Amino acid sequence: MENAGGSKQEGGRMKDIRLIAVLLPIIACGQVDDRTDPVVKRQSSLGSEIILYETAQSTVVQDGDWIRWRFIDKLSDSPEQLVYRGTRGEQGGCVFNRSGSSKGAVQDVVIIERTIAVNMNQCLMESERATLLESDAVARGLLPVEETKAGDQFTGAAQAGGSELQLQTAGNFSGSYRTLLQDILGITTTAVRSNVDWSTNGSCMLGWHRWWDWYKLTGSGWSIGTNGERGTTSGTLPCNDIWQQSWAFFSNWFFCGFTPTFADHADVQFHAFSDGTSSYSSSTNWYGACYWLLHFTDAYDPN
Amino acid sequence: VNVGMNRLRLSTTNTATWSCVIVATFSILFMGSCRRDQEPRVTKSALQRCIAKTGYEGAGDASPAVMAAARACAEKYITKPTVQLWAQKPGTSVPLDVRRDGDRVFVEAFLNCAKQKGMEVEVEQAGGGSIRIKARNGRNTTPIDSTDPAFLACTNSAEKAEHDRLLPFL
Repeated sequence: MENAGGSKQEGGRMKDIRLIAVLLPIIACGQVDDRTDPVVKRQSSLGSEIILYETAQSTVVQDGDWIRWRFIDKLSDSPEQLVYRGTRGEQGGCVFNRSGSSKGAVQDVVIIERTIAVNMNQCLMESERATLLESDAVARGLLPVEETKAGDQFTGAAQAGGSELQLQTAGNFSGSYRTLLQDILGITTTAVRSNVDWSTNGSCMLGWHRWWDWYKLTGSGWSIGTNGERGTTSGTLPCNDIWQQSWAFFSNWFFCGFTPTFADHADVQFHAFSDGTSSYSSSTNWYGACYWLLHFTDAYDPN
Repeated sequence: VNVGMNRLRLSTTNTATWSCVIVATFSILFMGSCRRDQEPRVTKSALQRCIAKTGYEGAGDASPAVMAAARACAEKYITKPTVQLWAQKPGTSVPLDVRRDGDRVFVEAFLNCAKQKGMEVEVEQAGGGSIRIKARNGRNTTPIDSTDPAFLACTNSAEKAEHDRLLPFL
């Protein structure tokens, strides 16, 4: 009986060994296989961070609750660093406002501001901003040009006032302000822009026209909702401040595992002044299941 | 009978030994194959490997077909947020005045903490209730960004203060 019991015990051990023989390699592989895991962890100076995506242009990492974009191509040698605390939005997410102005009638420059870190749990966003020669910004690919290739673009009818513009002469200016949301692949998903052309004698406006446009990436589920614009009344000629305000709301139900993500370019404003300067402001809110994968780039062409 | 049992034990022992050898051999072989697979994972995620196969190089100027394939990878591998999203809830359940009060509590808690940690902080209105925070090290006036440990400690405590304020409505 004792031996029979021992034999049973041996048989049980054999079964265990066979089971382990079958499972061990699978378990061992399971320890290092990340087929369903999109992320890789590595140690940083701050602790463990997760690489979400890496391209020739940037690396996107998750560092605790922060998502950080590390761009290979610096905006400038010493870009201005800005940290924003947004406000909790009505539909969730955070509303971030930006604003700025040009200091003089300096032409052929563009001011780029782009997100470098976001913490949606704390409603915080860090960005970097620099003034660049427009030709340099275009050559370096800092002004996205996707709208010519892979998206739907709408340009609103222009409104105008005063004398007809003669843009080649002195005292004539052309400015715009555009907010874009880009995903972690660096693709522009949605964008809204306010544009104003104006001519001035230095103290009052002589003529102007204004218009707006929006863009959305095609083939990826983005659709446009509420949108519109307003600004200086057509046919009038204020002495100072020609303005254009534009807005558009976008949604995507396929972007993130069939759960909705929203991008609300709620207020994109450009103001042109008679001394040739201008100012801009915007209010952008993005929310939904995968809003943390989006970040913005603003392009402000002062005049 | 004893000899027979001993043979059986010997045979069982041999089988067990061989099983161990087989297990060890297979494990080494499989682990070896895993290691070969593991190597690129040091620098590339599954998402990135998937996208690399599409030919997309990250510039956003690929053909629509390539971009669609790249986006399909994103949809395959990024299916849920990895950031905790309690902050996503307030909009639907927290009254506007409480949300604004939460914004105020966050900023006050951050500024108090920053002062205690020797930071010099300037706050500017950015419009619509948003603010811009400019923080510097009080000792050497170098700018402080969002990777600074003291900054992170203060934003974490500010988040807790805001969360506590909103909690009854969440």
